[in-house]
Amino acid sequence: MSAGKRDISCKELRESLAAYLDDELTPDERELIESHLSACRQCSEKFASAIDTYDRIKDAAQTFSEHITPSENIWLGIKSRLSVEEHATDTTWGLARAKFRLGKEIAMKALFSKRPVWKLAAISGFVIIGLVVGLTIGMPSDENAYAQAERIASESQEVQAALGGEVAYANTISLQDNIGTLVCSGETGGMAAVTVDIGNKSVTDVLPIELTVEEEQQAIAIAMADSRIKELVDQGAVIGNVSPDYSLGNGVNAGTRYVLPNIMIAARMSLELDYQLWYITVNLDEEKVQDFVLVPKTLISMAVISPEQVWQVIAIAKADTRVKELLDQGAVIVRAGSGVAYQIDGGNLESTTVVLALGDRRWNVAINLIKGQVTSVSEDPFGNISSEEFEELVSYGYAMAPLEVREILGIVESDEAVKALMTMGAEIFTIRPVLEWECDTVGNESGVLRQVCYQKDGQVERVDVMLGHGITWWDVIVDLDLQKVVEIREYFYDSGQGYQSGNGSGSTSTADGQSVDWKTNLVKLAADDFYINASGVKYIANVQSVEITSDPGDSEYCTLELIWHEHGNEMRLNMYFRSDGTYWWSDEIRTYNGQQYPEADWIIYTGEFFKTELGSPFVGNIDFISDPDNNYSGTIHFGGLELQAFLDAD
Amino acid sequence: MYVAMDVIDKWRSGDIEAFEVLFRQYYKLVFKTAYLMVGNKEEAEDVLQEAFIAMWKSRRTFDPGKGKLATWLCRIAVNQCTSRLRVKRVAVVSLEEARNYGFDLPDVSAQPPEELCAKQWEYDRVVKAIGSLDGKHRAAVVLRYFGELSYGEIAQVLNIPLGTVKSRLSQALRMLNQVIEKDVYGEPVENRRADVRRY
Repeated sequence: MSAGKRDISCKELRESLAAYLDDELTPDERELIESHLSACRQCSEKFASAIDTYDRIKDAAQTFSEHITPSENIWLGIKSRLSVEEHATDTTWGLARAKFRLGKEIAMKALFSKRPVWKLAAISGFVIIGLVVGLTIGMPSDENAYAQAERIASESQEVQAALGGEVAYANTISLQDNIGTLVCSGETGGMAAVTVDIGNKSVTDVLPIELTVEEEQQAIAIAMADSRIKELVDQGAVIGNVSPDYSLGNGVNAGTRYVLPNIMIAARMSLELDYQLWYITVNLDEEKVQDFVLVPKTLISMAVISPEQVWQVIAIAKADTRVKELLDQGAVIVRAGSGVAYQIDGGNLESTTVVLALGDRRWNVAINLIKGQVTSVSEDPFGNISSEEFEELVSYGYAMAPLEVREILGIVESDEAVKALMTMGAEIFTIRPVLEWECDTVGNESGVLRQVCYQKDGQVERVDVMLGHGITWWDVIVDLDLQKVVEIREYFYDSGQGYQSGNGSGSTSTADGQSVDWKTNLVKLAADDFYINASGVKYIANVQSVEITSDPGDSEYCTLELIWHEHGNEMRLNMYFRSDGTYWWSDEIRTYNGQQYPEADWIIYTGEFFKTELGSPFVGNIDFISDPDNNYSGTIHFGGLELQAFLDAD
Repeated sequence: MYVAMDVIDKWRSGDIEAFEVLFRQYYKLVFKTAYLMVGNKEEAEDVLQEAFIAMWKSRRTFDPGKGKLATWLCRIAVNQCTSRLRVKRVAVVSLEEARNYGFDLPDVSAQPPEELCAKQWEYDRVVKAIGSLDGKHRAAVVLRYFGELSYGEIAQVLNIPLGTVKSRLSQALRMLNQVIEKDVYGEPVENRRADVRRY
């Protein structure tokens, strides 16, 4: 026996049960457990019960293995999709998923526009960020010449042969002396640089834009050497096919080699993790990742405009008859403030968007802040997709199901602290996933600086509902697992200094309470986290002296009563238990309301709680909301609770 | 689960036949995990497909030195399942309600009738009890007892510390104990819990 050997507590044993049964403990740990079991009757009873459950699970697993199999043709389904995936390559900085056809078309048009100051388009809430900087060499003086060059290239047999099919897009990069330089891409994904003699209406050069296998592999290696990418890949992110991308000369974006004097090739690939999508461009020459950009999700608001401006935006939207009509039908504003705000001419915000949702449908309300009016109300293309596709988008996290939005609003609007804010006049104006951001500032030729933000963690477990009133705003964080408001942060906006944390007139509570372990001869209660919310103030009983008693009652009635002081107030928790000889339960719980005389009183919770066979504990997570007829309202939270009353019952 | 290294190398360089070998090796694990997470065959098959497609797409980045294929595959599957569960917002309070929420009764009818009765009833209760767990606990139970992943592998798949795996499984055992034991008489227990399990 080693000196100073410690005993483990009942709680520690509880936490190690599974590991013990699965033989995942060290010999020392096993010894500790076994010696505790031999000394502790309750633990050894629980242990026997756990072994029983464990054995049942193992048996069920065996049965399951023998009988549950997927359909025979699954492999064929996978195989057929492999061939498609292999050959489909992205031809532009559009969307990787061919399903989003509309988005892709728009993206392509934006990319190949003839005014490429920056290739950025906000498309119905889906933002495509093109970091390929296009500069035309020689200003277009005659539109017809461009169109001609493109038509000649598209119709050319030679070009079609090089692309392996029909020409999908032809874009004139430069035009001088009736000679046009174009980049053409095909339906099946090939790309080529083409020189067209407009005078002779002929194609003089076709040079494929492609990467060798070595270059592809090199590109992947370079990408993997980038710590941001590596981190994501380690988490399971998938690198998509590598394809060539072209960029224009003048040393703006160095690529790997020149195809024509002013067109260079870089390597491009996508990165996907849990249906988030990034685009990566690799500069093979300089052996580095040139661009690493997230394609943001629809509901993300980057909050680059101030709350005052958001009020203005909402007011403008609500004043528009088209918007009013939608709101009357029950549409909800799910975002006010664009995904990316354009800053032109020294930072005056010119336009932004409000998004409305009703059922499966979405509308984008474009607002011109300078004119103070709605410029258009258009239905989002997602609204035109089938409900299966919409469900898929929801499951991918690209859209939030309308039910989810309504539920979130329901949770938020029934929260006491939020109700207090709304009584004051606060209004909800944005819902967005809580994600960690990393932001970079990116510049382009025109000197416009833009913030590009990368999501660090894509699991949407929390949602931030922003409320605002005047210059004060609140982030109300809703935990989707717990289905409740877990935190409220207050800020105010100072036009000189930006956003400042407030002192918080509302409650600032966090999800984590306090672990507790209370016991009398009749009742025992242990929980991993516990808190009481009384009149908007949180009590976690993390004080030295908590007075714990039980009213002995009789075989049908007993209590657990706690008294302590916290936040300068006396707080009490009384739980009243009943038994009928077979089961035990609680029919009432009371806490103090945390108010001073003469407002001090109980907050009462009634119901039939914890009902369990006599002699057994209740185990689980549980939350209570006070009865509606209380003067002050409250909630009680138990996480990882183990509670048992009538401990002396035979 | 031993797979020859050269099969993995071939798969990584794009050999579909080698990929099929890997599919045959791992599809049951992925399917079982998915089935117990989402509760019905159709969606489990979807998850199965998507997981293997993703595996194919990322073949060039898989590093055998970094961990097992099985772990990595499971993570994709579990993440997919979690997203799907969130969308469905299935709330399960008792075994009785679990039946009504698209959590299929697994079919064990290939057994001889006498044995079937007790065994199926047992099996049914256990699987439904698992269906009553919230997503986090369910994933841990499914991976450990049905997928037979080690604690370390589960930690990798769920991206949580080893200690959390231990406590989560212990908690899950206690929760399952509660659910299974309480229905000893096959009766649904009303109002047992005021909370609702969400994913």
